[in-house]
Amino acid sequence: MLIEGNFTVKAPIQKLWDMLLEPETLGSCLPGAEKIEKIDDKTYDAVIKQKVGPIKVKLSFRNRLTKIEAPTHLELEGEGEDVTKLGHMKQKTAVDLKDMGNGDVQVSYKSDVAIVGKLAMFGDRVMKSKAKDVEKEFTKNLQEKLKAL
Amino acid sequence: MEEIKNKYSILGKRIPRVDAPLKVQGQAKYAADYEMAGMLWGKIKRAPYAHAIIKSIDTSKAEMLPGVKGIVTGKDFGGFKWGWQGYTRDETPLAVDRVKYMYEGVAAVAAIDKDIAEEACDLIDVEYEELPAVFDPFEAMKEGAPLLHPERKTNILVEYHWDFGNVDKAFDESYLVMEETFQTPKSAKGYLEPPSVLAWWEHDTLHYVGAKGSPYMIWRILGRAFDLPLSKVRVISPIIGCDFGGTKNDGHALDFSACLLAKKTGRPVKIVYSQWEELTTCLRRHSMAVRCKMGMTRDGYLTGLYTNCVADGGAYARMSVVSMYLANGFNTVPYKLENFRTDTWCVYTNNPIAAAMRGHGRYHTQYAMDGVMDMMAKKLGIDPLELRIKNSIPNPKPGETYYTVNQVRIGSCGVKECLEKSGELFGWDGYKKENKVDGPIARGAGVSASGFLSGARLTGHNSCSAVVRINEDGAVNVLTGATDVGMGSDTAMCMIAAEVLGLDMSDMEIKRVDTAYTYPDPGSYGSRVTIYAGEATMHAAEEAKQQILSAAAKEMDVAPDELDIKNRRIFMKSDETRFMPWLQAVRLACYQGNGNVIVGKGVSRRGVKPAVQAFEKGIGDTGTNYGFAAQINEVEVDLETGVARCTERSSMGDDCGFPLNPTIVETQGIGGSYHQGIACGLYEEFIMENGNTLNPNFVDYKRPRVYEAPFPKFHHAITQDPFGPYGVKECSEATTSTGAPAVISAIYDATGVMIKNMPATPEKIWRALKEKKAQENK
Repeated sequence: MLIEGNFTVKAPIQKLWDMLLEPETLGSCLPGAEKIEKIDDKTYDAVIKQKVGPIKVKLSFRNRLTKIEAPTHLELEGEGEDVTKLGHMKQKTAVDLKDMGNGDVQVSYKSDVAIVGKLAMFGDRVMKSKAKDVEKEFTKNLQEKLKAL
Repeated sequence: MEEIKNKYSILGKRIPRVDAPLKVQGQAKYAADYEMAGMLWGKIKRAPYAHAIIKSIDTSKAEMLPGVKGIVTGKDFGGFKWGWQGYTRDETPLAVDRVKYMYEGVAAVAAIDKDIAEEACDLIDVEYEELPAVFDPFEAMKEGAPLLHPERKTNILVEYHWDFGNVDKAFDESYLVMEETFQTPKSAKGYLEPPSVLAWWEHDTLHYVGAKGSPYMIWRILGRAFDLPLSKVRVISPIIGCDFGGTKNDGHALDFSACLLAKKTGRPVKIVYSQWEELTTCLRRHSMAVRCKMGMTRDGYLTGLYTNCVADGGAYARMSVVSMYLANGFNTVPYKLENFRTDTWCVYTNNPIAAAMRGHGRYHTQYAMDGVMDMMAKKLGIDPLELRIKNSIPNPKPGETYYTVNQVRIGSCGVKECLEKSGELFGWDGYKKENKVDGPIARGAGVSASGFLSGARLTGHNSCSAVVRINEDGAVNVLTGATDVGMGSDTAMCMIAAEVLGLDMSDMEIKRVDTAYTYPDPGSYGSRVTIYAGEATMHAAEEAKQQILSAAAKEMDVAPDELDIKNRRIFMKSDETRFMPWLQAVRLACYQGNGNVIVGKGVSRRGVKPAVQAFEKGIGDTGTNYGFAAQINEVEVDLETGVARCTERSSMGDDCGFPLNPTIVETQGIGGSYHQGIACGLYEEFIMENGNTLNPNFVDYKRPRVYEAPFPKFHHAITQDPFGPYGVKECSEATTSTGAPAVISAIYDATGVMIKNMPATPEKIWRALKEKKAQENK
């Protein structure tokens, strides 16, 4: 399943890049994030709680940054599963930052996600809609955090 | 005019709408804004065929999807069918064994959110056997065409053949006879909110909040659908974001499905149609081919008229029986005409369903008649405005009535004044002398005049009631069964009650329809609300006023008829220095003896006697009275590209009897019908391919943008109709009918080409100009 989207944030591109790679930023902006821990320069462990339809999941997974081209492009891969075994998930994501020249940075993402287990009962529509909700909240939180700095 | 204006304190004044503050502040609650705790979202599963047998429906996979709480199919409605009248009941809430148009609903799902409901629809397996389909009404009329309703043995939904006077003789004796065929497109209503419903069951009563312009229609339909006494059906009307006929009067898959899913799940269910669903499956204006034959004398007097109309009704009957009556019922207005004949058919096809829309029916024949009239005027060398003025029905003198050849009763007719004043405002006389070609741009002007019924008197329940309650603090509640769908009738009702009670608009409050408390009313269609609900409100206010006057009279030791109310004071008519403040009189009335509840009730019974021969024979008077209008539009046509646009130079005259609120009449005439009219003339049409709507969104379905929608000058022709309360008649249906013909006529004036299949898109105009040039070069 391909999930893609983009959002715009008002911030200098370098500052945004740095923030996006900080576990603390991700932990406080990503809705449902219970833990984001930096294992090494390229590896992160995360525990995220989400509700998809009527199903509550607690996903524990590890992400590895596979390509870093600061401050415009990064790629990561990850794999994890729900702690109560409701589903298993693998993902490959590419993120691009583009300076729009007016103080805005456009962040585009493209994720190839494979899900098995109970979560997979939901088709693309439900998962994409969930991703859109998460994106909206993440953008809002990120923008507020940037303002506060 | 001044005399009438000064007669009233409130009526006739430019008073702001009562709903304006809520709407401009974004506080008005429309159906889609309502939500409830525990609410589920519903979605309709739709068929991908225009005509097919449903062999099986398997919902098992969808039922397994987490979050799905209920699924219903057509069979779950127990064979219930509905329609406008008993003999047109041909439609089920969801298709049961056969789908008859593309994307007809076959099942519905309720789930905990919209996405899961939609996902579940995808998991419902429906096995179809595709059938041959028919999309052209002329093909559908032929023997051997695929039948949509096999039990009917024909696809002809309704046909009328009327004959008045002697049309053949009239044509034989005419100096000029001309016959042309015009085609109107299928078009959208274009209201400002999506069809939406929130339904739930409480104390064995079905509760329904939905975007309906005629809430008592759906009240009755739901009562029958769920086999409930009407006391157990409660329809609550939110603010309505326009209607224009059709979809918001009648029931749709979402209405029935939400109610049944709510019953099945025991939870509130909400369904909101997407723009795609609305524009592919909801009701649209008929497309109609009108062959029009007209005869005239040498000096341009109409002698006879024949129309031959074939309309595409789509898959189900809905209001087509009425639409086809209205297409021809008023061809005998606004011009004097003694000989008229029509042959008219509406045909079932596998297209989405057609239904009423503003200028209902009349709009099609008006286009054809104006087109032929202009072509004849040119041949005869007569000015098109002059030709219309000389043929106009005169305004009957007070106490007199004009009857058309088909017995339409006219108590007032301001069409001549509308034409003359439109001409003056436009500067018609000088226009002919102007240079109207500038490089590739050619300007031209067209004129049209029309008449339309107000206070429709069709079959069924047509009376209307109102209640005026005066509270102990002097504030007034107005309650009617009528629904303001955006036309301003709530304001009109408050103005009428305030006028009768001698109060201010700030004392008035009008509530939306709630069938548990308001009185039944047929609904907002046929330009009937101000006529009927207005009269009922007037009577209700008068009754409440009498109760106040009686209480005050007792205290003042005079007879009630010696008193009147003005400016919140109850005063003696013979000596205005003797008065009692409004609040004191109200308190006396409320607290006298054991206390009273001041409630006035009023009824309008003008519509209870329908014209029974109207449909079958075309004879009679289906309106309480008749509004008239004229307009002149100027267009600029780019002769190189074919692009036409309306200019700022245009004018309208409207005879609504007496404008209760001139500003509202003007917004209905200009922002409402003028813009809707020119949109039909230049832009709007559904592009269809094998039953599929190819432009189901308001980007591909072109409507005029702000810069394409100028504001015409406006004249009020005040004729004080004897059959309407305060002399009022309809406004905006006649003006809607005149908009498109005046634009098409203007293109004819500018270029010499008559566009006979509107809208006049750039491509059509360009091709017509090319053909004209080729003819000229031969």
